[in-house]
Amino acid sequence: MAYAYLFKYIIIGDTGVGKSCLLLQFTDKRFQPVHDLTIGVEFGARMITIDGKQIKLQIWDTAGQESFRSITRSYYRGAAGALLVYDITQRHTFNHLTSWLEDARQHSNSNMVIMLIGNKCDLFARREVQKEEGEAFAREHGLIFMETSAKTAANVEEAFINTAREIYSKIQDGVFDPTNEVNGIKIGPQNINSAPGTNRPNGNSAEKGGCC
Amino acid sequence: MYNYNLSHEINQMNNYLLQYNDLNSQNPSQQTAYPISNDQIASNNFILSENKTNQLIDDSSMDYLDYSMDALIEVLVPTPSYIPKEKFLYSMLLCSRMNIRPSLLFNRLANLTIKSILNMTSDESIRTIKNYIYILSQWTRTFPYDFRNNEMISQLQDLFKKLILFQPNFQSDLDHIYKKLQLKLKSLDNYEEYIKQLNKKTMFNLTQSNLVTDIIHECSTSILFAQQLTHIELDRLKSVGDEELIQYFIMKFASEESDGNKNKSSKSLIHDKKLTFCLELYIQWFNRLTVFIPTEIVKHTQKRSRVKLINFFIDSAYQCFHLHNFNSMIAIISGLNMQPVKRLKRSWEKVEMEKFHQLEEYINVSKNFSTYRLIYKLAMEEAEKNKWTTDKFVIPFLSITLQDVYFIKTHSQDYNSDRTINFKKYYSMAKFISEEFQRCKQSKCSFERNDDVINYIITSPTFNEDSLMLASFECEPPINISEKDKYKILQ
Repeated sequence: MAYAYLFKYIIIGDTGVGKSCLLLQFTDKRFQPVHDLTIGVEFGARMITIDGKQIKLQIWDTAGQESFRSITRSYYRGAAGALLVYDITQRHTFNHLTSWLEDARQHSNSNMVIMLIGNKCDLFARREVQKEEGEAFAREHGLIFMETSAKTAANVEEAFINTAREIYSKIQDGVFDPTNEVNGIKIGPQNINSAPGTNRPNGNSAEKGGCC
Repeated sequence: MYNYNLSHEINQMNNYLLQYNDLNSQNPSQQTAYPISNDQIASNNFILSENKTNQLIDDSSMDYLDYSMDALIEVLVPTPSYIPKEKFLYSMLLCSRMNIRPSLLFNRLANLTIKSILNMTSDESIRTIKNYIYILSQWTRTFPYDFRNNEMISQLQDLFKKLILFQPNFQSDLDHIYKKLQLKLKSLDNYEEYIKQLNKKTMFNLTQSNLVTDIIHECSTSILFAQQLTHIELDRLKSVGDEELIQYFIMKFASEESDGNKNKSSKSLIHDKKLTFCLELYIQWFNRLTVFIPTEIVKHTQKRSRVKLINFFIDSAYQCFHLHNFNSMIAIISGLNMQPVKRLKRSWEKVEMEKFHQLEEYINVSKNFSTYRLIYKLAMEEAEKNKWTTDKFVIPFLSITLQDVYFIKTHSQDYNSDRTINFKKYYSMAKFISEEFQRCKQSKCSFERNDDVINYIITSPTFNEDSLMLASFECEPPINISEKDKYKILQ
């Protein structure tokens, strides 16, 4: 499917915080037969619309590789956005944020947009990290923040789309150079302004579809 | 041929059966861990017995798609003329641990087999037990680490005693199986002891000044280095049990899975505890090699030495590539890519960058590491073609193998909507692990082992991340504000 821009994301954070679940919730690809893994295809992709423009999000999931820090680092290069996830029911996943963030800052391009996500907010009864703490951490480090639930889908769309919106506005402001693929952004195969039926007045709506 | 009093035998088996049932009822918790309703068991039993009488069971991958766990266990139960096919047996023994404890599976299978022979003639029961012994030999051979669990090994011992009582002729077969199992467990113990000694030695090395030497001094050529890395890889790779790849995630992601019911003890009822940590040791080795590379480089204050080492490691990565030792290759590239080395601009100026950039393609994450996957696939085909003869081996990049296992585990459900087991998932997991991991464990290499070099690689002290960065700043001073800040903090 044609798109105006392609943004590459990476999802990071401790094991068990629900990284894959967030991605699967967003791409709606759970329990679908997958291609032969050994060939190597991108699998976390979805089309969204921002400001009337079709934008393809390509999301790299690091789940399963957390013990290989040197490998998760190789994902940062070429990512325009990062979702840094912790689990609100597990304090230690929040405590490790600094080390993840340091990693991200050190190995990514300086403009990478980082969204801090407190996941599993449906399990409020088991909450160990208060929302205010997440907000404070985000403020201190200049991140966007949101609490989500991959299970109920609460705020999942918003998390991915708000990150994209931030990247988009950085392109508009000339901060991001979309012609340099190293930044994790690619200009689509055609100028999408002319694509029929995609102009929506509010840049809010997201459309499912568009696979690898 | 058999001078057996049939009724005596049946009495005997009845007794065993009662004991097994006792064992079950003593552990009511095991029963509750099992989420299948009685209705389903009944209906599936019906389907299964129909299949059995018609001898229609065919282990194509489309079979058993709507079986409950109970029905699947029934498929494992041998008859005088039926043994589950290897593919089914392997998939079941490997993957059922996602949903039922291996020790409970063992118990149930024993129960059902013994129960089944109660109505058989002596000859039939003997043939059934022979088939059962075949299943046990497969289990102990393919998943020996399962029997590290006290519950498992004592069940096995009890069962063997009873089978020998039932038919003394089985003794030599059972002894053989038991002896082989003990050998495997013993070699696991030895391996763990070896690693323990290494760790001790590394600790000891810390107190010595090990900074005066380097890898080039210990090991003159990149070929020799790559070969010794291969020995280390094979030691570690071969010791990892197939089932560890699944157990690793069961344990690691347990909290994610028990979502909504944080009762940690309930987990241990579904899964036997992971008692073997060869996979973890293998991961540790990868991470060690990754840090070993920058340590070797930044401990030199002379630029000339650093350039020499960077070139040496690039050449070694190429040697690993040619050997198809992909795990070491990627660890080396990742090590060279670590910030403390990467930032040494003046050292890199003297390095053939083109050569390094080619290597870097193999850790390119795009299309899910498609560049790496391509060379890996070609290497596998070559090894297959040469029937894995000596030196035609493949050592896969562990992180990708694990990621793929995790992918299969999370991207498909364990149960179908009617609470039957998603056996398709079992098959794809089993296919993946046997083809992409187990096959590689048969790798053999002919090059000589050099223990001095190996010892140096695995026991010389490595720097932690801060020390690496600090040493790197000593090599080349910080150049921008953020580096200067970092340097100040580290000092």
